[in-house]
Amino acid sequence: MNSLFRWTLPLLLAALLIPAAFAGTTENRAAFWLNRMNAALRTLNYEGTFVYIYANQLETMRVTHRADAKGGIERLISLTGPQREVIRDHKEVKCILPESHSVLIERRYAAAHFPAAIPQAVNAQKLVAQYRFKDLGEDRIADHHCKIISIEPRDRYRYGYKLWIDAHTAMLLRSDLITQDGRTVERVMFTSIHYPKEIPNAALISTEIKPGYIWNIQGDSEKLPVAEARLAWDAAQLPPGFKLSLNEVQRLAGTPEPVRHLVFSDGLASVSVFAETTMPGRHELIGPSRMGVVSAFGRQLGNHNITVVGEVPPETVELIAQSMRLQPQP
Amino acid sequence: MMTEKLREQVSALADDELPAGEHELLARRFALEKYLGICWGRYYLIGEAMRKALPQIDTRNFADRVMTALEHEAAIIKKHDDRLIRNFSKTAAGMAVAACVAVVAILGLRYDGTRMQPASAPSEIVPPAEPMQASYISNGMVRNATWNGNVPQVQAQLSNYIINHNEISSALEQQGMLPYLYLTAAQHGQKYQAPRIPRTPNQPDKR
Repeated sequence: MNSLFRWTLPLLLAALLIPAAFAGTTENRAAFWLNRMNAALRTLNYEGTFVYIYANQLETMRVTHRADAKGGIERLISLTGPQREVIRDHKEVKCILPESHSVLIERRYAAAHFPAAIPQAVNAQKLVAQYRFKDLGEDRIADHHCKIISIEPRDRYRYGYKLWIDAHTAMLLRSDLITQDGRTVERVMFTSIHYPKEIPNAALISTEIKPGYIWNIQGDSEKLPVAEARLAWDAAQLPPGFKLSLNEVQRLAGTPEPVRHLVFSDGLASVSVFAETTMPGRHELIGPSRMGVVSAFGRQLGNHNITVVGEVPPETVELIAQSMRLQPQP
Repeated sequence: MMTEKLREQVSALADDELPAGEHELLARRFALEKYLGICWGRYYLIGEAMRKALPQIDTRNFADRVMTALEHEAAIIKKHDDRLIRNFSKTAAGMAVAACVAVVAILGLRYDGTRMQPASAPSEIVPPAEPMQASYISNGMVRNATWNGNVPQVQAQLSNYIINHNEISSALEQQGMLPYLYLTAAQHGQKYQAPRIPRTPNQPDKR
């Protein structure tokens, strides 16, 4: 798992915001703090309990993060509701689901990118075109003095953030996901956090995995059948600022056939498009769905099912899903 | 009005002892009653203090705040005390309670219940994307914790997608950990159904 909550968002945010790219003082200040936060999330050991509030629900979770040169190891445990865990190490993400006696494993793509600090392909000016950055002053969270930075979306196709950053350690202590009109749709906030010098292995190993559990493991990347590989996917229309940033074939955990996976991003928010060949008798998503603030939209296109997911407003995934085209390549 | 049963439930939630079947109902009450958010914050801090999990605190105005808190929170402390004594029988209850109250008082109840209110206040947590709410609301509760409106097979597939999306996005320096929060915090009483395809060996944990 990435640094918790939008614990990776920070990575992204901070990395994206190259101070020199901003002209104004406010943006420079925001970039300074976000860069500090980026470094803190990668280099600090931390253990903490936080609340996660969305819609009418409230959950309590605990996170343990051990920093190292390979990208760190993190463990996230639900303290309320069903027992669930996510452990992310250098190689994989392991979702442990005791109530269904199963373990789901995905490769950790980000591992190769750690500990690289600044992404290569990000255009900070483009980000500023889609988001407005503000320095909102100071506050206190879990007895820690914090700096508040806001990143407001300029349109309805993406969410923004308010981030409370520990003034001393630069750790992200609270994150609010906000809409264009300023409404908070989700909040993650530490109620306690500490920074141990060392985190033992035992703190990062699940005790929940039992004999007899079903293991669902993501396969290696695979090639599509020739006819399928010749199909070119693209989107006729995208929300402002979104561009294609990935197009590849993958075999996901639990899927019988390789899947075409495209990622569109505005530099901060990202949306994935998964295209699979329709299989008789298999249930597929048709229309909208949502989990927390993650939106999804599915539709059928020819003999393919397209599913679009992302932590963006519902209209964004629907627009992209409806815009997808399939064209044979020469 | 906060009943004893409700106090018990909030206290149990803070101690991770609330039965799963009561979570949803209590979450609805959180949305409707401002005081619950404050109360939960107090109980949580009390619990953390009794577990000695709180950071060092500033002790300015310590006595005044303790007295004020004691006046207002006697009932809360009594209930919480009972539960925590069960759980932490080695704790010297009297001292711990005093310490907890002090912590709560000094921290000034940073967990601001008003920020958890529903409806129209600008700072509240509201379901996103109003135009789509109608199809998502069931009995006044937005079903946000699992993929709504779909059979388990589709939900499992969507969860797989979002895990993969999150990892890819991370690699691209985009997006965060949040989808894992959704999976970890899936709707109480609802099981995550893993996709049925793959191998089923009893693979040992690699670590």
